[in-house]
Order: sequence, then structure tokens, then C-alpha cells
Amino acid sequence: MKVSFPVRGTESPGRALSWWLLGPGLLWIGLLFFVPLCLVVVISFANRGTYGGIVWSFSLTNYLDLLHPLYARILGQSILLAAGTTLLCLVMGFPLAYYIARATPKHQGIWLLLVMIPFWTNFLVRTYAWMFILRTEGLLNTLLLKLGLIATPVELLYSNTAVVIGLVYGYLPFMVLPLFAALERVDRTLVEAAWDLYATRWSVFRRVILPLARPGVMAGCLLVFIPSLGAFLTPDLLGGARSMMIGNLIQHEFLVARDWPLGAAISCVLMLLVVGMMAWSLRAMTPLSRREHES
Amino acid sequence: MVEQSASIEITSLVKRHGATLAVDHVSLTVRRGEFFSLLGPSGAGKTSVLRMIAGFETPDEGTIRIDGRSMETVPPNRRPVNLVFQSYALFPHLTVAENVAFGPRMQGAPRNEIASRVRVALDMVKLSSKEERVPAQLSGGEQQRVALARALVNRPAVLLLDEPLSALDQQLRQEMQVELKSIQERAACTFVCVTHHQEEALTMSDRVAVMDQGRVLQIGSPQNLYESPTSAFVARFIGISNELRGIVRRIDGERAVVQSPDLSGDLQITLPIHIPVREGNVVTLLLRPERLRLSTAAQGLNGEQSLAGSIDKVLYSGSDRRYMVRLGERVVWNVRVPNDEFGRNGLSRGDAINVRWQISDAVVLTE
Repeated sequence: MKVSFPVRGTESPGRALSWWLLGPGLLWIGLLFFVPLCLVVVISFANRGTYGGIVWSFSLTNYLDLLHPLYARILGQSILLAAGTTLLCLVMGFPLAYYIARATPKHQGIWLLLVMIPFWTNFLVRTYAWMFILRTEGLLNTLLLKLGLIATPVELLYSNTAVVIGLVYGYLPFMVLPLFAALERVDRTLVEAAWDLYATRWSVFRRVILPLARPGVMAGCLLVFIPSLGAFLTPDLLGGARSMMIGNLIQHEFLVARDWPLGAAISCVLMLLVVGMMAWSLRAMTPLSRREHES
Repeated sequence: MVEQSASIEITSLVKRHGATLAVDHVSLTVRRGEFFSLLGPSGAGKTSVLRMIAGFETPDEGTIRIDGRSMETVPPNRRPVNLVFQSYALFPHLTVAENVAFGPRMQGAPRNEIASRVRVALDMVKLSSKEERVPAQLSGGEQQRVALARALVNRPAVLLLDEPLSALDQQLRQEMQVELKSIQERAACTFVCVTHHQEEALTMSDRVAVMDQGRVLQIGSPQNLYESPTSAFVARFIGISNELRGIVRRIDGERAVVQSPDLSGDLQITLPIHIPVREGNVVTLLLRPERLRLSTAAQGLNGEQSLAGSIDKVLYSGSDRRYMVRLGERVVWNVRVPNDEFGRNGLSRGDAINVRWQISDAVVLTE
């Protein structure tokens, strides 16, 4: 049954206005995001010309090329490095986020500011700084040598370890912030209730805090994993020639090998991978949020 | 007898919050199997006492013994007590059954034993039909029952309740008062309940400790507290009380002639034998509204005392009327009489009247 109210008349100018307000954003996303995305998908099915360039003929060769073990290895290594980065961020970020969430509001502000301060400096500059720290004659090696902990310098730079260090450093705040938001909402009396009901400290964490913080854990893991998987600056600078991630491969195909169709195909595979993982983790999150919204 | 032995013994408990004494040398004994309430206004320190029994706060001085065992070094998860939180603190991500099973699971009880204990506990609070729901799908009263079941399933030596009924509406609260008492009897468990609601404390408790500003003022049965308060605070806090302050001018056998600056004439009161009073003492006379009678006749019956005054205000409340009787410049007493006492329309404002009471009904406090 439809009932119309006199107020309804005011709705149409309001609706027109809202379209105008949406316009710039839609235009921006459409022209600069959606159209290029479509172009990438189209190019991924095209062929490479003899001297670079694109030959507009439909083929699946680019995708079939990707089945080559070399590409599979780079993809596998990228996933491994991104997963390792995510895990390290989670392990390091959780206690920090928990501590901040339990601090007084005044101290919370200070801590959150400290977490975000690195963003004030350019990411490239900060990554160069890591090169100075990790090099053979760098800060870390000099320190370890002086302390007598090592006899000869350790080769840290240009390795997977260096890449993971750089990625963890860069993306830790993306883990801490959603975790903090989730943990801050966990009612403190629930922790007391669990404690009162004979739970040990570990059980309180495992049975109460962790399940309630799950949306934050999921969000933090996605926010770290996705950019880590596609990272190319950090592996380029800290990983050198030995550590190539899928982001470097895409960059290489587009800029060095000038094989745009293959680069586009790799990009599409990466996107599908990310979308698939997001869908999976959103589904993993739903049971809890559905429960929260019911009633 | 078992009932008479002590379940909780608290000796000279002190808790400081900064410079203020939140709990000021509290000593009390809770007997096994009784329903004991800590009653007082907010900030009286009653919740602090409860949290120290549960182990969430550490006493600055004094000891707490539960079943004869000192709790000094025992963390909350090792104490034989369970707390029902004011906000219930149910785990939102667990079902009703999982919430109730939490305690036994943490204690490592076998799976089939947990299942049967959960069933018994949910039966006790009449919630068996909702065991698969999550807390957000329950009403406030049902959440309260789950919180009770989750605590009782552990068969604690003492169940602690922090303002258990404060989040419920008026009608539900009265139902739950009766319910809580019968659950306590069925579970045969010692209950220690914190409340600021005097009616709640009186109807449910076997004994009540009245607290104010960190101190215990009086411990006794509801009847004892109501009829023989030892301080004006207790008298005022537990029900409406009429007061009159005065100075003892003369002692005449067991009678004292008291002069109150608020009254025009002297008042002769007969003192209870156990209260020693001397000339010059300041005394306070306390009387409950329902212990007073109104009469137009000046002469009272034997054993009665009376004061002359006039009706100041009439409050009609269905079964009875409350008259505010002005006895002096600053003294207005509250008198409750059955509705038909003075004809259909009762007394009206300005009528001259005498307030009477049995000598033995008056409580006399000395300062």
C-alpha cells in the first residue's frame, strides 16, 4: 500500500540536488578509474606488437603464458611475502593496539599520533632510510659489530628479509588502527566477567577478546595484505634483483619489456586474486556482524 | 547448625581512592545460606566492598576470608565466588547456552557434565527454551536471568550481585525481587547483593548492612533496621521517617522533659530503659508515618503521647491518605491513615488536629 504525504513534493528537488552532489565524484571515478580498468582488461586479451605497442586482436596467449613456472613462482613468492608481512603486523600490532585501547583517552591520542607520525614523511624517503640501516656498512651492522654480537657483517639488504622488514614497517599502522577501533569497543566488564568465570589470562584473550575483535583483525589483515601483495617500491629498493614481487613484474612488463598485454593480464590476475580474498574474508566476518544487527 | 557458620568474614577493610576513603574500616560477617544486602546511596562504598570480595580490587588494609580461607593472594579466577554484573556482561558472541557453559568449561568439567549442569541452571531461571539465542535477542529481564544462570551454574560458595535489578523497569523489578529470593532458596547459596534501593533490600534480604560514606552504620534484619534504627541516617534511608530534635531539660523517673526549639510547648517523652539520657543531652525522636494516629480529641489513651498541630497538605493515594501535619514553624510530620478515617472527604487544610503515637513505637536517639 502506498500512502503519499504532502512532504513528498519536496523530495524531487532534493533528489536532483543529490545527483548534482554525486556528479563530480562519479565523474572522477568513472573517467579515471572505471575506464582505465576496462582498458586494462581489454588490453590483457590483445597481443604485443613486434616493437612493443599493442596489436588489437583477441587471444588468450597472455593468460596461457602466465602458466609458466617462472610467473607462478613470482606469484607464489609474492603471496608468501605478503602473508608473512600480514602475520608479523598482526603479532606486533595486536599488543600495541590493545595497550592503546586500554589507555586513558588523553594517552590514546598521543599514542595514535605516534603511530601515524611516519606518514608525515614521504614513503620513498623512509624506504631509502631503511637502505641506510640495512646495508652491509649500515647502521644495524655497525651496531652489531661494535657490540660484538657478530664477527662479520650480515647481508640484510637485497633479500626477502629486507622486503618483509620494509613492508611491515610501512603497513603496521594499517593493522594497528582497525585493531584499536575494534578493541576499544570491547566492553571491559566482559574481560572481568570471563576472569570471574575462572578463565586464565590466555583464555580471556582466546575466548573473549579475540572473537570480539575479529572484525578489526579481518579489516587490519586485508588492509595490510592487499597493498603488500601489490607492492613494487619496497621490493624494488630493498629486495633488489633477488627478490621480485608481482608488482615489480607488472612494472617490468609495462616499462622495461614493453609488453603491455602481458602486464595487463598479470594485473587482472592480481585483481581477481584480491577480490576473491576480500569476498572470502567478508563472508568469514558476516556471521558475527549479522548477529550484532539482529534483534 | 550449618546455616549459622560464617561464609564471608570481612575485618577492618579499607580502600582508598586518592585521598578519600572509599571503604572505611568495614567489618561484617555473612552467614552461610543467607541473603545479605549492602544498602546505601551511591558513593557509599558498597560496590567497592563487593569488587574486593570478587577480587577485582585490592584492599589497602584489612582481610577478607571466604569459608575460612584468606583471599589475600587469590586472583578472581580462583575465588569460590561469582559476580552478576550490573550490566550483566553477557558475552555477545556466544549463545545463551555457551554463556552459561563458560564457567564450567574454563574449570575443565567433562563435556556431558557441562551439558547437564547448563540445563539445570537454565531450568532454574526458566530459560530453557532460549538456549540457542544470542544475548542481543533477549529482553532485559531474560538477560538478567542468563547472567544469574551463568553464575549459579558454577555452584559458587557465594553469589555476588551488583545492583541486580537496576536496569529493569518497575513492574519487572518487583517480579524479580520475588524470583531472586526464591532462586536463592532453591540454589541454597549465599547471596551478597549491592543495592541503593531500600525496598529491594528489605523484601529480599535476611540481613542488611546500611552503608554511608564508606562506613557500615548498622547491620540487622529488615525489621530490626526499620523499627530500631540506631541513627537518623538509617531511619531516613529506610522508609519515610518523622523527626523531632530537642534538648533534655529534666529527667523525671523514666520520663524526660524535652524542649524543642521548633515547638511552642515542652514534650514529655518516656524513654526506653536501655537509653541513658542526662539533662542537657540532644535527642532525636523518630516515628514512622504508619505508627501515628490522628485524633480530634485532646486527651489520648493510656500509653499514648500526642502533639497538637494543623493539617498542612493532603496527599490522596487510593487506599489511604497521607496528611502533612504542621506541628511547629519547621516541623511537618507525615501521617498515613486509612482513607475513610475522617469521613468520605477526610480532613482538609487548616483543620486543627492531634498527632498521637504509642510510647513504645517511638525511637529515641541520643547524640
